Amino acid sequence: MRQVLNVYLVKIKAVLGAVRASRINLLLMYLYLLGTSIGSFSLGIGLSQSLRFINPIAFIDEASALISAFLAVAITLSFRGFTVFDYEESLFFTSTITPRAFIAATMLSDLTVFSIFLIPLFLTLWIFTTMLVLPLTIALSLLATVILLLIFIAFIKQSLSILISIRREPMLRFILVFLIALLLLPATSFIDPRFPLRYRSLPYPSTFAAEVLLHLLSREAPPTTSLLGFFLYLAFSTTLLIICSGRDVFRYARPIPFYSAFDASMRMQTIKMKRSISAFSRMGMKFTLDLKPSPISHFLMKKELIRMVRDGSLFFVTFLYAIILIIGLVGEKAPSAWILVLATYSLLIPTMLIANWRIGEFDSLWTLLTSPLNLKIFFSSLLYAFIAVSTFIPTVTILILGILTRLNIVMPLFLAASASMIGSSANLFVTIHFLERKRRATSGVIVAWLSFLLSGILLAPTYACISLNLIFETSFFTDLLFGALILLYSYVIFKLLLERIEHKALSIEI
Amino acid sequence: MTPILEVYDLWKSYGDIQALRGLTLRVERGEIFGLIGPNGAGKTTTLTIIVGLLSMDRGKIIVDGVDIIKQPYEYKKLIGYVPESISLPEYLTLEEFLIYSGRIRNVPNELIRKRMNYYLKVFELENKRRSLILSLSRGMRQKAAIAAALIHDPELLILDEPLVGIDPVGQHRIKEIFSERIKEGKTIFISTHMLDTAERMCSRVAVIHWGRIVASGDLSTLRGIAREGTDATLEEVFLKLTEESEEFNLWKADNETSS
Repeated sequence: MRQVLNVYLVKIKAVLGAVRASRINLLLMYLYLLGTSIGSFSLGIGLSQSLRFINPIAFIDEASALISAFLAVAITLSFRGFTVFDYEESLFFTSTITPRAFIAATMLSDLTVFSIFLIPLFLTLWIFTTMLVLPLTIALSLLATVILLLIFIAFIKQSLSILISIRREPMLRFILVFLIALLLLPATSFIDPRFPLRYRSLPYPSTFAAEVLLHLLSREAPPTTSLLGFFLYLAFSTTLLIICSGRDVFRYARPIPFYSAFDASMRMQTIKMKRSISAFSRMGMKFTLDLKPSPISHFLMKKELIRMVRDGSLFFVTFLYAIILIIGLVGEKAPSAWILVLATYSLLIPTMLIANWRIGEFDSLWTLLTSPLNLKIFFSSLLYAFIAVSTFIPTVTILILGILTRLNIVMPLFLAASASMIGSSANLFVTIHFLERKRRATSGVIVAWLSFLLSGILLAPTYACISLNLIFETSFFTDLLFGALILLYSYVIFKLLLERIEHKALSIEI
Repeated sequence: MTPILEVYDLWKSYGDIQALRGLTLRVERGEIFGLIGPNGAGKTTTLTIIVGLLSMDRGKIIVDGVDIIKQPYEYKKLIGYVPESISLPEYLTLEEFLIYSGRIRNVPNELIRKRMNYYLKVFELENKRRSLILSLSRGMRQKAAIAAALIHDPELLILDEPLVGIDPVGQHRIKEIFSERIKEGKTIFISTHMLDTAERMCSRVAVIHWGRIVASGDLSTLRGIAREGTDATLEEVFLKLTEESEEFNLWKADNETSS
């Protein structure tokens, strides 16, 4: 027991360390709790109001489908095998801790950590029981059923992960895929009511759990067969875990280089970036950096474009816009509004590109910072590369949509160019600001969010111009005039931010 | 002749931790100067401040007569730097990385080609020139970083633990390159805690302890300062000097009291 407790404490401290790496991460956590609490409160009230007029037992198929989906996700996650964090392998696997003690501690710490994310669920449950004025015994039974259901899913996931690691034959994976298909198959009846299989007629664990939960909600005693079935499945999952954890699983563990599931550190992101480079670099090897005479700014732009090709940034951006284009073409929404939305959201591209630049380049930035190259030249080339990509892709998408729908695309094109220029400069400015030593632990999400905020504020005059243009339905030449003004304004912002970026970059400490 | 590097009264702290406390040193032209000291003494901090990767709290650094604060770009033409833990742009090939290193240092293309071919040959990396840096081993990356630091033929080469992680043949080649550079009148400034390396390679060393230089000079001078015999090794001199350091004694006394 002491072993379990010791491992548990270390694991919890590792998670807390990752969360506390930056105050902003804590702030994000509080914001999450606040947001989900409000959401759960509204959901709880809404659902409990609905339940006053309907019989919950009528929704066994739906509830069972939802639980089956969770179970299917858990089984899918088990395909990764028995994974452990890097530090766990070196710290625990070389000690006298037994696999069973380690697994018990892992499951306990997972339960503790994920309980933060289960708060909305419990909150909804609490509001439910309060609003429906359910007796305490029923409320407690509901809570116990939910907890037992979560334990069942966790046991199944852990046991299957161990089995996948120990038995590497494809047959096991095939059986699991078959199981997932079986679990989800009755959901076909939601699409086609003629489909003969229904969850309520099948002895699935999800059906038993749904029956118990919904009967409790209806203030009825759950059917004995459902209770028995649910507990039999629970007993099965417990037995399976006891058997699996008895094996020497340490030999089969697959280490993953993180400290916790919430590790959003630069180290973790760098590892992901390396994987991305190995996957995408092959397609970018024809486009190379060579000794052909060219101005240094062109050379640096080319280097950045090569990076975007080889780390997959360009692929993801193109893929995203290809999807947007398809939605725009086949969707029922008004194409003109869609084009405008598309142009406005071209801000996304610089955010994605610059986030990848931060991850992929920060560690090797010393090569640049110890060179005599003027940082203004470097950062202007970098910005031009970002602007080129983040203008080109939306422009092509808007042009295709415009040609196919015969709509006026002059202002959306100017909007896309402005969003790209201001978005790239603002994003890079915020990113460089957060590269300073004291701010470096700030989560990438916050950096992206602040970049968006600054871009949005700076783009306000552009949006005002576009709005005026839409309201007054101006002529083509007026559009061009407005467009030229927008571009001029965007260029001024670009220049101003470039000055600030160079100044900030001089104080980057590595 | 003015020294290639002068550091005066350098101070640096990380929060409550005082990393450098008035460090002063001079590196003359045409020598291999070693900065030796125990872990946490302030070696890497000193080097990263000199190359412009870290700001100083107080002090003055002059590289070949250029104040690094007043002219933050100018002096970097004169230096080449290799850090201890090397991280290179993984998405570039080795050849592309050397070209990039040369171009950002304003080296003419022909010279880049010539020097790149030379160092790839010397470091036996010719067959890796079109491989991504991502696929290179740690030792190969170290060699690549040294080649990049030499591509503009700097007056002052600054290296942090240059031989760690490099195979014996590679170490031999690096020492040969250092000798050639010294013959050409260039200067090398290395930081290390490998005392045998420092003893064999360096013409002068400075012992850094608790953020301050406790002694500097050639081995015989250091022997004199440490009051050691003529046959004392650098290791013996180093141990004597660091143990005699006033701060060390205070720290030791503190520890003994608390235990």
